[in-house]
Amino acid sequence: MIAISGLTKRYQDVLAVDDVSLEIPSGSVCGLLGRNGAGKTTAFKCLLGFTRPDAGEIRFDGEPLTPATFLKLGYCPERPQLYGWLTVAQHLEIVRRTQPGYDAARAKELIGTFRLDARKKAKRLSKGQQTALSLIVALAHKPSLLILDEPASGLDPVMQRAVLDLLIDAATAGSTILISSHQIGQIERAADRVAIMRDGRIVLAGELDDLRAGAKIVEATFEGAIPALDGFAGVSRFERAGLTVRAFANGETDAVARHLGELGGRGVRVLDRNLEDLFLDAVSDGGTP
Amino acid sequence: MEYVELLRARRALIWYGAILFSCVALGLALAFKDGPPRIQMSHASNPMIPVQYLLAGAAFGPLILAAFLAVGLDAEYKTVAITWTRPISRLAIAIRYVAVDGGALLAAWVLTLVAVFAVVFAIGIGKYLVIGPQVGTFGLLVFGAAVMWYGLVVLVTTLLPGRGNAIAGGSWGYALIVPGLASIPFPPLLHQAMVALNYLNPMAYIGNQGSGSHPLIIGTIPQHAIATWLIGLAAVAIATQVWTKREVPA
Repeated sequence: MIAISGLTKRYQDVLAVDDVSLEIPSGSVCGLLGRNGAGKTTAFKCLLGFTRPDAGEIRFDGEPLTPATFLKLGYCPERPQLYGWLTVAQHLEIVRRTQPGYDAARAKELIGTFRLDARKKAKRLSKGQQTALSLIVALAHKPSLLILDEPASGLDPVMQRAVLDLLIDAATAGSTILISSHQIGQIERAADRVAIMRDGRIVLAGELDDLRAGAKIVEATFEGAIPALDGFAGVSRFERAGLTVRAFANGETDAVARHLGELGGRGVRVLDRNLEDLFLDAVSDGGTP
Repeated sequence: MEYVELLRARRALIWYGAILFSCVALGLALAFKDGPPRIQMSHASNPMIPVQYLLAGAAFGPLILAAFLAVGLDAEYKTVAITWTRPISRLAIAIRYVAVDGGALLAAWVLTLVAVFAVVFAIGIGKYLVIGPQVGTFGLLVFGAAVMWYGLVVLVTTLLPGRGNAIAGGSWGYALIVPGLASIPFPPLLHQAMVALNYLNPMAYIGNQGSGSHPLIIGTIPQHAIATWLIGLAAVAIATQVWTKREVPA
């Protein structure tokens, strides 16, 4: 379990992380979403001890971060941080020498999955291969806690799928995973919880199913011009596509559906929101859904 | 993590050894081109080569490598995702790094000494070698100078992260320029400042021996040896502490 409480980090005048609290239960996959500069990477840096938070507490399985935490924790950074002059095999040798839980068979399997040449120097790898090597370094000791900062960045669609499968496998095996990504579809497939950051704060967090259930879309199609959409309560925003209107409702949908019907809307129906809808609502200037 | 530094040190020693012994081989080949060289030693009726000279000459090996190896800890700054996510305390990582580098400096000195003695005996002047009364202390001094150089570069690179190579190169400029500046008759305050700066120049402690009645570095050989080791080890101790408390910037 990863528990973050009141985490705050300020860089001079910029409040990069502002009173963030988040709890990721054991065996859970939590997607941390947010626009660039929302504070995700800074939060990760605080979690890993790369920078000292100004306030707050972080606990891994109930314990504060110590060197021993890294026996069970794997980290993949946003941009690969590798020794360019070392080979793939030498990177794995670093893990073997420092992690008692290093699993050579697993590492070999991962190298095969990502089709890496173990004799190749890191600086000779493509960006996607470097990302893959970073991921292998993070996973080779079979950690039960994983912190992944955009692990699929730079990978081709096939490799992205392989990363997703790895995460799902790790989660199935009971790992606790905190992952940030701009690929919302991936998060939606792999994560059971999400937290959305905006301007250093968590603006939406919870189990994905609960968040979806708490927010719906009411869709209606108009025959003529779309009338003025005034007087709607509990709607965070509207989307127009041709003569179809989608109202993003928070909670009560019956009144919204009735109002659209009164304005001449036909085929009114209530749809579930996907994660992308939730994300856009949370990070839009309209505020939280 | 010392594995990375072992590889870095091995690479440096291989390059250094290859260049050194290539030069030795080339020099000997030229010297023996027309048969065994005939060297005349004239020091009255008692020619001699103090071993201290060879120790001092061989010190250039570790001195050259000191600046190169000292940037290794700073270079880890670019790979904290690996370095700082090991189940090892940062202090232990830093100490292991320094230990590997210390071993590499010693190996460089031994390599250079082997090369120097090989040349001396190959050209037939080994019989003129004499061991002076303070040869052990002088050995400690020249290796201490390498330790001091290493320590100061490690310290400055930890205080100014990400500028390791520039600092390592600058350390040579410092070592070569400051003694000259300290010898120039500047106004008293500036002259004293230059003389003081020279106390942080490891080369000055070696080169200062027997330099006349107004040496730039005061003290005896044992005092110099102690000073180089103390400055070097203190710098390393501070540097490792600073390194463990570093933060990744925004």
